[in-house]
Amino acid sequence: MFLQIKGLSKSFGALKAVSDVNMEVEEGERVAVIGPNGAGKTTFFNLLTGYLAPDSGEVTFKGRDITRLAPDRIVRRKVGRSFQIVNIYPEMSVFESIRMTLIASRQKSYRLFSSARKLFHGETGEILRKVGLAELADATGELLSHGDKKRLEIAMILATQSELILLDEPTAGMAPEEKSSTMALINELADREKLTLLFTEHDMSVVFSWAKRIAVMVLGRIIADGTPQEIRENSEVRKVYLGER
Amino acid sequence: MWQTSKNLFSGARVWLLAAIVFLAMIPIFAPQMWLHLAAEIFIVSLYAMSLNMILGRAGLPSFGHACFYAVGAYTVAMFVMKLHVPLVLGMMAAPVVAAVFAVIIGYFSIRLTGIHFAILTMGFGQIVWAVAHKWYGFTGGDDGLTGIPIPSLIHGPIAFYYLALAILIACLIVIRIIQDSPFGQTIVAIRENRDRVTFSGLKVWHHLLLNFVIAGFFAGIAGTLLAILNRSAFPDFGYWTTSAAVVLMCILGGVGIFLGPILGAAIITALEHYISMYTYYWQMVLGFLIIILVVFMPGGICGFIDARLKKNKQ
Repeated sequence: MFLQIKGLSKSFGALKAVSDVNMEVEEGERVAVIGPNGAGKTTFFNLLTGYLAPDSGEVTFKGRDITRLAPDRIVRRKVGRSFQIVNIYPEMSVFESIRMTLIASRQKSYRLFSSARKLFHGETGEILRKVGLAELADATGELLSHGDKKRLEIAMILATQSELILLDEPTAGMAPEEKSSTMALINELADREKLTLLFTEHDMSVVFSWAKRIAVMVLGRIIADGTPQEIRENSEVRKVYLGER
Repeated sequence: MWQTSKNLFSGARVWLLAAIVFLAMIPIFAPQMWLHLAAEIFIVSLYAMSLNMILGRAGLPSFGHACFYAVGAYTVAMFVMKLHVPLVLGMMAAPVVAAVFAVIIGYFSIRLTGIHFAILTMGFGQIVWAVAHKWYGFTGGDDGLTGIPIPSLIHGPIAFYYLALAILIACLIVIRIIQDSPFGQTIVAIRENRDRVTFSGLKVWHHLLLNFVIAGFFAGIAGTLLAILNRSAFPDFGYWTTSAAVVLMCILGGVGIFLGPILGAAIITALEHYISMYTYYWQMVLGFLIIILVVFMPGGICGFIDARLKKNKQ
């Protein structure tokens, strides 16, 4: 199994943020995790990426236990993530940001006496072309538009050569056109690079048009998990989340 | 404030070369008292450059950097005066001992940021100072260790001037190479966004610790020269005000520009020297300088000039 999650739980005081979550994800799947605010989606992602340690449960990726590993170790196992709030290097150029990520993921960060400038020119350019940022290579991170910042963040995840990517609300705060172009890019990349995606999303039109499988999280539990069709017809989901009576 | 600039200094290699030639020619016409002051400026400049690896590059406000400066000075003094080894061996040992102190202090403080990092580094610095200040049998207590025998080769002010200048330039070249290396870029990336570096697969604190140790090493070299200049090592070399002064120098010159700290070091060292000849209240002048700086030039003098140059270009 590509990603296997067994009995994952995390409490903050009396609050069970994530409660006995079980999930299996096959290679190449695109799973949306949906649910109301405070359902535990971000905590769930934080547990999977080592940002938080679970109280109990187990996560295995490609057959190897990654539960409780430090975040950087999990990244080196090829699990990447993006954050809800864009997370880039504000004062570095687009080009420098990608090169920095390549320096990090190829373990060249302890080189003290060689020039960073000579490294990864071709590869950086290639990644920028893949995400459509080649023309903005010299632009400073914080001056990019919101959509381009997200592209840059995705490009940095690509540079880590991640096979499983967790995207926490990749289209948060975007205009509708930006949302669909961002999701189109993510899917195109996932097709080409054979990536497995796990993402959270609030916009149901985005979820139902892009996910091939949807897991519904409410109060820290997965209450339903299936194809978009199954989720749409699930009476419990309709009652507690999709807002129908 | 933090941005590394390519406009002001790094492109102007010709100017740098001219400056080096000029500095090399100063002893021909300058009076000896100037040479003493100039050598002191070179030493303080190296000390400031070493702090800027932590303060400017990593964005961590260390208020205990004088510790490594003092350890460098005391190491050379002890090696020569107590172990009776040649000065040059003491000079080589000093930065290594300073780096060992940096490993220990860095190990405990580097995982903190902001004010907590500042306080902890200051605390460690004060412990080292207190040991130097009180342990008469070992460090000479508040009298310090005076009368380091200096070989005749570097005894005169001209010879020492050239020694300090040569060591400063050599260190600047190495510091520059490290800054432009993958490691140097990683340190800047950590300053900009720790999480992103972690999620690129790196242990952030390992890199910060190594950076802290390298900075301690260079401060140790500066401390060695300071001991030779004074023929002594005093506890005050490691007092927290010496740590605070160098933070000020970096900010005054500009932490975001490679040679910024040197400008700050030169201005403050020269001010202290000249104004204190006329008044005991030279620190008042310094106070006004800080106010002007913080209000009008948050990027330091170099940052200010650099911003103007960029504006003109546009």
